[in-house]
Amino acid sequence: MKRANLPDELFDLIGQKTFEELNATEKALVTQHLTAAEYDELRATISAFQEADSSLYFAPSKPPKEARVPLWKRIALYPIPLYQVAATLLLLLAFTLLWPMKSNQMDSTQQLEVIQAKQEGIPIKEDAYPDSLVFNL
Amino acid sequence: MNKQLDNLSDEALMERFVQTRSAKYYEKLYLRYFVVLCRYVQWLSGASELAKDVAQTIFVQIFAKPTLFDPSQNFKVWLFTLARNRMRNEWRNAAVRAQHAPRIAQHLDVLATQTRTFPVAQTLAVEQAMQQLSEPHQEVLALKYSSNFTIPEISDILGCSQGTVKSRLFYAIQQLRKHLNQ
Repeated sequence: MKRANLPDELFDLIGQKTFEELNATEKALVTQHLTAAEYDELRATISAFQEADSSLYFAPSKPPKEARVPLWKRIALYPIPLYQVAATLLLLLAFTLLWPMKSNQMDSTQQLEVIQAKQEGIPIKEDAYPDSLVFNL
Repeated sequence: MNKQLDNLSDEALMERFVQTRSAKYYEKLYLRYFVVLCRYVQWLSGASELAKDVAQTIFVQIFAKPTLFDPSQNFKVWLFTLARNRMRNEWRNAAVRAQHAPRIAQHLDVLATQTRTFPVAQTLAVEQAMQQLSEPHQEVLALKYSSNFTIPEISDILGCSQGTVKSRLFYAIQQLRKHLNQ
């Protein structure tokens, strides 16, 4: 009998019941492949394994600290679609391109006023001229 | 609220975690599988500290990159496949073996001091018998009778046919019995 052809249920039963505890259908299934003694030996082995398994001690621990995410991080990690990022970048780019043009216009008006003021010059009046710079020749 | 979460399948919890990044879904999965995963790695390595390290690392990885999970897959199978690969990589590293080897003895001391319903000597005997089995035999036994996987699920995790799984499992039980009787 090839062990690869054993039914899945047989392995489930070995993990759950002794031969005595099996019902008639289950006994019939088991005895097609194993004797009652063979079955009980396998059952005893698995029973010992399962008891050892359940007594393996691992302290109940809390999830990793990273699991408790603060609100700001959740917002920062919130998935944003790529098209929205692209649209925002385009808007920002358009805004930064248009803004300097407007501010340049204002600058050129101011510059014109300065040039005009220079061209007109500052009239020197006698009462406005500093006394310390007056020399009597 | 907790009951609602209890009723959700593993896959549904993962899906909601991916969508909302809310830790409550993740925590539920963690509580369902952390200890089971630790036991599985413990049976393969015999090192309880390594078992906790591997399980913790896997869960941190899932938290950081939950989108790696394919919702069409079985979560538990995926989780144990990750843990198996991780454990094998770590265990191949001689430095890690050296680091954890003394802790096996510590673990046995801890076992000896704990109050248990199952006699300590028998637990130690089973652990020692398991350590004498080949890696494929350890794996099938742990996956079937510790982690409670079905034969098709074990076949998926190990990447071999169901026939191979059953054959290995049968001989693994026989080998374990032989070592326990020695």
